Amino acid sequence: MLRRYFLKRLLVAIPSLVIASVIVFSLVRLIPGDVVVLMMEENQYADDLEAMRAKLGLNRPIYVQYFDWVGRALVGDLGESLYTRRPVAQELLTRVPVSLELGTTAIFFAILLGVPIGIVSAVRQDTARDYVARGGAILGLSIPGFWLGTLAVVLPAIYFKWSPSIQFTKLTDDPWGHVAQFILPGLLLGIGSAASIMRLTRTQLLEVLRQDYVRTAWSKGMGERMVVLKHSLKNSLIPVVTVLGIQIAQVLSGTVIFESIFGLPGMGRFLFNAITERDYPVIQGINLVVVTTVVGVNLVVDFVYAYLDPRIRF
Amino acid sequence: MTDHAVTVEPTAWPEAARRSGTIRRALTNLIRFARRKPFGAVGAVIILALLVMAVFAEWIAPYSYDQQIPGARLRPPGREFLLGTDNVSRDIWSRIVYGARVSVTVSFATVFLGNVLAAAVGITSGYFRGRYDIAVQRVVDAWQSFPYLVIILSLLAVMGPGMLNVILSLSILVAAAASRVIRSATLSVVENQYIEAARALGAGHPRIMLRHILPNVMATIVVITTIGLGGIILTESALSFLGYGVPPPHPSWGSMLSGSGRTYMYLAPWMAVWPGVAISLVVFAFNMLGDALRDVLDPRLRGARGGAAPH
Repeated sequence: MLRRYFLKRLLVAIPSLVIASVIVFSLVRLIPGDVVVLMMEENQYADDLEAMRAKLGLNRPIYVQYFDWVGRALVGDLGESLYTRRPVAQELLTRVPVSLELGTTAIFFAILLGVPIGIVSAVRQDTARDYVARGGAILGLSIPGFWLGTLAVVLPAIYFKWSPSIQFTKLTDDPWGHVAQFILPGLLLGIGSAASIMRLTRTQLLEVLRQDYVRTAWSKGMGERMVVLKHSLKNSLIPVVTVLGIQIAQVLSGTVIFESIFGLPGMGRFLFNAITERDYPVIQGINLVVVTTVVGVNLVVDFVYAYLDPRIRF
Repeated sequence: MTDHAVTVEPTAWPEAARRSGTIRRALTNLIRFARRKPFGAVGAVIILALLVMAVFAEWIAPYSYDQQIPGARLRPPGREFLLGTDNVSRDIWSRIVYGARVSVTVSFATVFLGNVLAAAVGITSGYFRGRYDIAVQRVVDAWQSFPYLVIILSLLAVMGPGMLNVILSLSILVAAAASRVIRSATLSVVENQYIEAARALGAGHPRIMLRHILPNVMATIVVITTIGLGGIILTESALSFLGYGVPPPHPSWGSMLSGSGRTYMYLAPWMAVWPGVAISLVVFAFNMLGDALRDVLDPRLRGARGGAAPH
């Protein structure tokens, strides 16, 4: 049964990925002609229009272009940056880990904050603590991350004469400094996700706490800690797993902003620079990597979900 | 003549009475909503203030958004300049008031365009089902696999920055997410007997979808629209912050936090504070109103989404 479910999910994920790759591919083909001229003249990517179009691969039949691009991508060739002339895949090799570290830190903080606050909020429903937590969660969803990042850089510099370093520290140079530099941006990036996770944990736990088997646990004379943490929490956390799939996409969006503010040389900042430089092969490559990551993570999330909750396999 | 007046009177009077009755009922409903959902009501008031600011910016703002006031560079907030001035001597309060116009224009236009598209896609997909539905859902899946900022920035890299392009690219994204919710609402509406009855009476597909399904998924659309508005304002401000939103000198709250002003924020922290407060407050208001409307209009949606997109 489990295997059939996996296959079914895989059959849904693959067409999504193919369509996504067509979207990524079409993006560059939407460039207006005058932009190609601009790329040639402003950024000096080529000598004449024909050479520029050849460089972008626009001079061949469209289906040939697509299959050529996908074929190369499958063997790890994402083309070459117009700006630095370095292979995109090679550049990503050093940048993806940085974004991964930032994203993992963010998700870590999101769970660390979201789940316990959600539990307290549900168990103490309609008390002052619950209202504060819920209000805080809506606030967390409302505050723009780039503003938090800006304040985190500006305010301590004014009032405490301290500011987060925007010089990237490599793991090999200073392991502690390397990890430490992700803490502040990771925490701030995770706030939005923490709010989502808190809200979902709360509603799910409230639902489970109303179930018969929980009432049985209470009537057996079990303590609150036992009822909530041992009997209810596990079942209420299952749907929270699925939201992690959505949060991955959110967090990846956030890396574009936080890597720029905190000077982290990750994929998000690479994308932002590529957009400024009209470096379309890079944009295309990053989009493909990002979308594959999201689809992949969601697939894993679905599998984990099916494993945790056998009901949904049917 | 008199005959005529006599025949007009009785028809005109109930009409007026009916109308005033509707207004009274609407008012009663509003008051009941405010009592039941005080936070939602607070949100509604903030949104109303935002709309007033956007519409009457010329009258509310003491200065124009690009007016450089001689000798008033980097003034702290105070009696003269409510929220202070920036590095090119512009009044920050005035820029925030005009910025409301940008936020309102972008978010309402996006949500309108996006939801019309979403309703068209979602209702047809849920109504016809079959292969068409499967194909549409795969495309929606694909769109939703992209982190929103990544795909929008890439779109804008191709189309170029500007308000219209921001609205167009954002509305595609909004449409993808909203069509999902509208589709699932349609799926349950289609099961109702009145749809079968309409079909038995010979109503065609367009008529069933427009007259029977659309009104019944309207509550869902209202809720996702309200929550969506907050998310759009956040995304627009993020795009403007990154320099791909509404181009200067038009004041967007996001762009007020970026650009050359950033180096002056260490001298004038109020430049860094107020635009962010404005964004947070407005998005907070939309989220609270959206939550309250959801509970009242469509409890099924509870927990369906974690709220507006952060960042």
